[in-house]
This record gives sequence, C-alpha cells and structure tokens, in this order.
Amino acid sequence: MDFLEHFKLRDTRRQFLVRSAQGIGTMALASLLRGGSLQTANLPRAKAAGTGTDDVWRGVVNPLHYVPQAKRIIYLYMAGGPSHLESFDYKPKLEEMHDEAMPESLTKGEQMSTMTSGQKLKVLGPQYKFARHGNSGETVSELFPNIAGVVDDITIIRSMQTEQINHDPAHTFMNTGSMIAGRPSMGSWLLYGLGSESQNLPGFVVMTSEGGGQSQPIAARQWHSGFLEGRFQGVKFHSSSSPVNYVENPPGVDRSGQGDLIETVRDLNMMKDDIVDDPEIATRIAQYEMAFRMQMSVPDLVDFSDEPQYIKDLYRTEGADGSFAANCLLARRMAERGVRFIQLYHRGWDHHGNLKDGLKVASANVDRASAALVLDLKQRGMLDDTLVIWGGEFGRTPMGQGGDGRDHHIKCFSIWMAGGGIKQGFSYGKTDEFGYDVVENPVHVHDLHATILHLMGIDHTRLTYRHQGRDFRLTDVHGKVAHDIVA
Amino acid sequence: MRSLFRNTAPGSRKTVRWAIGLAGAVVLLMILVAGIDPQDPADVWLFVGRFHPLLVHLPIGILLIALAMEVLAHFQSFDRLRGATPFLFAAGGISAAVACVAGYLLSLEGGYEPDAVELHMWLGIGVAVIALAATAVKLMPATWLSVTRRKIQIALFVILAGLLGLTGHFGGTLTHGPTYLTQYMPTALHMLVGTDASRKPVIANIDSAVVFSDLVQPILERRCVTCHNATKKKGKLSLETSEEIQKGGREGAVIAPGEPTDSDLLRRITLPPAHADAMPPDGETPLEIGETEVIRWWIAHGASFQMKVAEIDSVPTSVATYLARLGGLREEPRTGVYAIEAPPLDSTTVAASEQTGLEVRRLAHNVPLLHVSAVRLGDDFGDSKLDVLLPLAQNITWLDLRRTHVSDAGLAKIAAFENLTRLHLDHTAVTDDGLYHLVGQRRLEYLNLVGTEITDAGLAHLAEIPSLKRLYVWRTEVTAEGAERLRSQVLGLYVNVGAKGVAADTVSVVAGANIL
Repeated sequence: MDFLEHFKLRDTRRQFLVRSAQGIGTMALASLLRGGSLQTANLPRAKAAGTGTDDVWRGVVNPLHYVPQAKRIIYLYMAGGPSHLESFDYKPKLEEMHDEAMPESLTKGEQMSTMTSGQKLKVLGPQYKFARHGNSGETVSELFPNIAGVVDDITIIRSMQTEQINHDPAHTFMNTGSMIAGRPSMGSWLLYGLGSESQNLPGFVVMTSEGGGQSQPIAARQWHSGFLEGRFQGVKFHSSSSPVNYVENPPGVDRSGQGDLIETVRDLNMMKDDIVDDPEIATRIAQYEMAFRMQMSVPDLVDFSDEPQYIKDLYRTEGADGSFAANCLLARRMAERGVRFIQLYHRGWDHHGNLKDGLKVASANVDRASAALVLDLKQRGMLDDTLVIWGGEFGRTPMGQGGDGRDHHIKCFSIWMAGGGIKQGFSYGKTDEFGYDVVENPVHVHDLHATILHLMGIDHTRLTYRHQGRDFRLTDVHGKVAHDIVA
Repeated sequence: MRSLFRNTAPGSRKTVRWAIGLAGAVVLLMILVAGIDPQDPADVWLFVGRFHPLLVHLPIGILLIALAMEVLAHFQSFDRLRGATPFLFAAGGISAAVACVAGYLLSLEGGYEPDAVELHMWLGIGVAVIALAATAVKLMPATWLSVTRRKIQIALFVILAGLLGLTGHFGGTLTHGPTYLTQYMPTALHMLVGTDASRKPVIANIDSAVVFSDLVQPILERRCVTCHNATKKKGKLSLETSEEIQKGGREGAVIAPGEPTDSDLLRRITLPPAHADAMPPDGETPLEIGETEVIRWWIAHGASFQMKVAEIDSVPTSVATYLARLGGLREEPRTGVYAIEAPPLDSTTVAASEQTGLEVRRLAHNVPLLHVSAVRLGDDFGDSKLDVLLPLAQNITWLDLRRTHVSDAGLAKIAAFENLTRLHLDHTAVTDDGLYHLVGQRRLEYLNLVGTEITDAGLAHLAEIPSLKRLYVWRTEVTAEGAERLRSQVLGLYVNVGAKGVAADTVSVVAGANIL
C-alpha cells in the first residue's frame, strides 16, 4: 500500500520528525523491516511479545516476574460501600458513645461528602452484634454467619483506604487505579499481561445483581480496556436466562455454515486492516471469532444438568435467576473453564438511611453465596490458585446520617480475600477505636492492586503501557505489595 | 637554512612548503581550540571530540606500517620500502596531531579522571611530536649527521613504538576501565602476568555474609564499575568504594538510605532500557530483576556497608530466589519450587511440546521450571501424548491434566517427572492402581483427584509421599475415615473430601458441610 497513506493515518507528525533526523533512507529501511508500516511504539512490540506461536494472546509478561500463586480472580464487588462497622470491624467504643457527638478531633478538616458536611455529627453505634469465630477467632458480625463459617480460610483486611468519596470516581479508582476515567481496568491489565487460559470464553467477564438498598449505577466504563486494545475489555453477561443473547444459530444455519460466515467476514476485515492498519479491526476480528467459539462454550457453561442438586443448595439457587448466588455459581463454572478475571457486582450497599434493614437484605443476598463459593472452590482444589476478593469501593462513616444511616467513608474500610496465595485465618491492619482512621498497616487501593498483581506473578512496576509519551501502569506511580498477607 | 636542504631530492622545497603549510594549519587548529571555555564547551566541539576514538586509528595504523617498513627495509629484497617511509611518518604525525586536538575536545566532556587523561594526552602529543621528528630526520640530506643519524633514527623509532603502545593502552583504559583486558584472562596467564585472578569467593554461609560486600558489590562491579570507577567517572560518580558511593555524583547523592524510591541509583537501573536516564545506558542489557531487588532490599534496610544478611529479618521472595541462584546459598531451607534444582531449559524442546497444543509456560522469569497444561486439549489428550513431555521431565513442576483421557498408563510415564510439585488429575481415568506410580515423588505438594474412581485403597500409596501437603478427593469413593487415616500417616497433610450432601436451611449447614 502507498507509503504515504501510512503517514496520513497514523499519528506520525512526531514519528516523522523523529525519523527525519535519521534520514529518509532509514525511514524506508525501517518501513521495510517492519513489514510495510510505521507503527506506534507499543503495537509491534506488544503483538510480537504477547502472541504465542499459535497466534493466541499469551500476554506481554512472558515469562512471569514471579512464581504465580493465583491463576484467576473472582472479585465479589459490593458496590455502594458496605459498612465495615456492621460487617468485619467491631468497635465497642461506638456502642458506648452511641448518639453522642462525634469528637471534633477526628472529623475536623477531613473530607466529607456534601451530604454530611455542615451537619452536626453524632455517633451511630453498630447496629448488629459481633462474635468471634473459627480457630482464628476473628470477629465477624451476625449479618454474615456463613462468611464467619469460612473465616479460617480467609484474610480480613480492615485497613483499606481510598481517595474518592463518591461512587463513580471511587469505582473508577478501585477498578483502574485512577479517578480520571479512561484508564484500563484491572481485568484488562491482567489480560494484557497474562492473556486468558480459556480461548472459548472471554478472559474478563462481569455480571451484576442488586438488592438491599438504593442501587447506584455502575458505568460500563468500569470494565473497559481504556487505552489498551479493545479486545481486553470486560464482557458483561446477563444474570438471568441466557448470559449471552442470540447465542444459538439462526434457524437453518448450522455450525459449519456459521463458520464460513465468520471466516469470510474476517477475510474482509483483514483486507481493510491491510489498508488502514487500525488496531480496532484486530479487536473486531478477535471478538467475532470469540463469539463464534462462545456459541459452543456458552450453552455448555449454563447447562446446569451436571451440577448436583446439593451444590445448587449450597449456593441456594437454581441458577440463572438474576441473583448474586446464581452469579457466584456461574462464576465458579467460568473459573473452571479458564476465565481469567470474573467480577460480580452486587449493588445495594449504599445505606444512607435505613441501614439496619437494608443491610439485612443485602447481606442475606450475598453471605451464603460468598461462603459457598469459597468452599466450592476449595473442594475442587481450585482455591489454591483462585484469588477471591470480597469488598466494596469505600466504607461508611462512624457518625450517623439522618439518624439511621451512614455516609461514605474513605479513610478506612474492610475487605477480605481468600485463596491464591493469601494467608488463611489471618487479619491485617487495624483501625482506631472509632473505626474512623487506620492506625496500623494501611492498605491503599494502589497497594491492593500491587498485591493482586504480585500474586498473579507480575511485578506491578513492570507491567506498563506507553501512551501519550508516558508509561502507564495499574498502580500509576504508587503501590507496594503487602507481603504480610501472602502465605 | 637553505644549505640544509640543498642536496635533498628534487621537489624537496615543495615538500618543505607542504610541511610548513600543514604544520601551520595544525597550529591554527590548536589556537582555535585553546580558545574554548573548558567549563562550558559548545556542543559542536563535543561533537567533534567524539570523533577522537575514530581518528585515533589513523595514526596508529599509519605509524605502525611505517615502523614495519623501516624494519623490513633492512633486508635487501625490501630495500625500496625505505623511500616511502618519510611520507608515512609525516602522514602519521599530522593525523596524530589532529587526533590530539580531537582528544582534547573529547576531554572537555568530562567524566574521566583528570590524571589519567593528562597522562594519555601527553603521551599522545609525544607520539605526534616524535613522528614528526622522525619525518624531519628522514628528510634531512644524506650528508647531514650521517654517522649518528642512523642511531638517532633507531632511537626515535623505538621511542615512537613505545609511545604508541602506551598511549593506546591508556586510551583503552579510559574508555573501558582498568580490568578490560584481564577480565576474562585464563588463569594460567594470570599467573604468568602476575595479576590477581581471584574472583569473588562463593559465599559459604549466607548468615555471615555481609550484605554490601558479598551481595551488592559484586553486582556493581559486574555491571557498573567499568564506567563508574576512580579513573572513569561518568556523571562524576564512582561506585567502586563505599565512600565514593556515599559521595554521589554530579547530581548529588545516588543512594537515600532507607528510601529506595528516593534513590536515583535504583531509579535508573529499573527504568526501561530505552529511557534516556536508564542505566546501563545505550540500550545495554538491563540488570536482572534479582539484582535490582537485592539493591532495593539493601537500600530499604539503610544501605549499610557492614550489615550482615542475618541481621535483616525479612528477605523478600525475589531476593531469596536470587540468593539461592548464587550457588548453593539458602537463607533457610526453602520448600516448593525454590528448592528445586533443574537443568536449564532448551527452547527447541519447549517449542516442540507446544506444537501439540499443550500450554507450556515458564513458571517465572529465571526459574527453569515449567507449568504444563493440557486443559485446552481436553478429550484429545491421552496417555500417548505424554511422550512429548518426556524430554522436559526434569523441568516440569506443575502439570495440569484435568478432564483429559489420561489413565493409569499415563501415570506410569509421569513417574519420570521427578520435580512435580502440583499435579491435577481431576476428572481423569486414573484409579487406585495408577496411584502406585506416584510413590517415587519427592516434591509433590498438591494432588487433585476430584471426580476420579479412587477409593481408600489408593490412599495407601499416597502415604508414601512425605512431601504431600494438600489432597483433594471430592466426588471419589474416599471416605472420611480413610482420609483421616492418611492424614495421620503424612505429616502436615490437609485432605478435603468435599461436600457430600447438604441439608436444608441454616448457617451451620455450610460451615458444617463435610469438609475436613
């Protein structure tokens, strides 16, 4: 194709100036060596580095930086911000001081959401009772009896910290490491770095459910691939009936016919790709081929006939009914089939009011299924290399809001993790007696990301992507691995 | 003056005029160059200066040929060579003079130890001067000082040869460091020449090893000191001794004790190689991740020059792996993959096994161990296909054969894989008899037999694997009692028999689901 066409279609003013310093001859030589196109910094390197001999994306981190402990992640994302004070962080002092004024020393000058700032702040004591559980003796509230039952398999982190006090920026921060939209999400980074074990299902799948309170929206940008190639983005499956619409062939079309169609479309796309060399064409080709393979794999995925009844009872769902439990069951099946990153959003934790009742519903929705997932993975021998994360985007304030609710709180919140190299029956980090701030071992969102990447075998400072002249990474310029929670 | 040249060869006046002309040009060049401010030279001078390593080869070649011709001219058959040598000495002298000027310009760049540069400079100037003197002597009329002229000439040639050699050697030392020539010298030669052949002794006992001198310093010596030593101080930084390291370079301290993120040294060695500030520069192979982690670890613990390894209580995994690879060093007896000695990987064998559709991945960066998975092949993978893995038997540590058609016959082949730590046999056709083949395993920690036809009888074989830590036998005929018995036989073993059936409603159900 015309040499000059390449110039016009790429962002090559910079390239041109750089290369003209080396002389026209070098440019011609460079274009010859690169197979006829001047490509941007990352693509040929990434393509060459990440694609294996059979044209399967193996990830750019090949070989891995560390021996991986986890091969896949199931992230149980409690959207809305579950109250740590009614789940995993017991604060007897709050009980004592219930309804008294919140000490100014703590709250003066601190960032608060617009709903609370300017109000008189009164302590709201924990609405539910806590007790010690398991051999490790961790305190868990009565709202989560099943999770309390598996407390010897998990590590509870009580010292999580974030920087964003409102939902969308906080989701963006938790997913992408930055509150500014446009960066790739965690799952996309992992696919970019490691590829996916399964070729017949997307490597990054997202499912949502709701229940327990006002469902704050989750933008689809939370699982987007940002500036990475489009094929690394998360794919949202439906939670009820079929996860993927129109998965069957139209009547009269059989598999081989469908295959012919896909091949022809691919050939046409590749012809255009030769002309314009747009990476989104590569994405489109990849997605079509993935869709073709999913026509076989998705029916198998949702065929629950091989699922014993007692397992369905363990999760307490019959599957495909839109509940969090059904999503967990499907997530386990996806994990078995090699999906790299599964994110299950449960919306309904944003209890600005009606905290007591709202929490009861929300926890009832997720408690049993979360524990069931851990146990089910364990009995299949999969918990060793599957990392399960349970948590939200921030916590809730020790002071009450409107007398029966709690506002958003960023200075501390609790999450737990299990499997994939995490210590068992362990807890990390402490908060002060009000549950307001962290006093020991803070784990910032960046640190969480660094630790997750470390468990997957990646050095978080070395998985980068050059964009706009800068090497971006999930942890940006922050993050240190919390080695204390790694077994 | 004219009488001096009266009897020279025809055209000698022209020669003299040429000589004076060229000499004048060189002198002008020197005057021009003398006017440059040494503290802040313009870039164009630095540009010219960089041609010194190139230009310098000209006088070396020319003068050596001239000297060789002079020697050969002794012999009758090469007599005619003598006529050519004056031209060669002149050319050599002029080019040496130009090279000296370029060398001076190069020295303005800085980063070289002044004494060494000065020595090299005077020797180089000496070469130019002596070469030109030799020219002059050769061009003298035959009658002038005829008796002693021979002796003067020989003296000049000998001095020139010596100066050439010395200048060249010191020039090379300035560029490459003092150990460049001797670094890879065979030990026999070392003894002959009398240089120190001792490499750093392998550390016998890691506990008494000193972090800086035994771990960090060898890295610096290997990768940094050629450009950052007392003689050649790129960026005014020397990394040879502890004082020099602490002193830092042109931009200040390079180590911030206790603060790895503030240490410029660490920043530069962990930059991507294409970065302008990256060290080693110019796209050279960057330091290994183990090496950068050791340095990071050393800085994080205060960058002390005396601290011993034993005094630091936390050794990150990356450092421990690196230490282990330094030859028999163990911080503590390591389990799992870090304890395994495996032969280096052969990429062709790995590629061959990948052709069959298996997923073969290196476990990590610099561990010669493999993770092999047949999951993608599923039903297509059977016992016969295991043969392709036999050449890699010592390197495979994680083997995932779940949901394939592998059976007891396949297990017989797996017995050859001595370094297995994780083995997935869930939903395969293995039975109790097949488990017998696993008896020889010394490192197996994780065994997954979910969904197979094994029973309590097969567990007897597993009792012979002392390294076993985690066993999964859900959906098999293994009973709780059988599992309990096995646990009592193998120290530290965890057995999970999985849920058998779940009663109706409550909390306790999940917690009490029959899982050991």
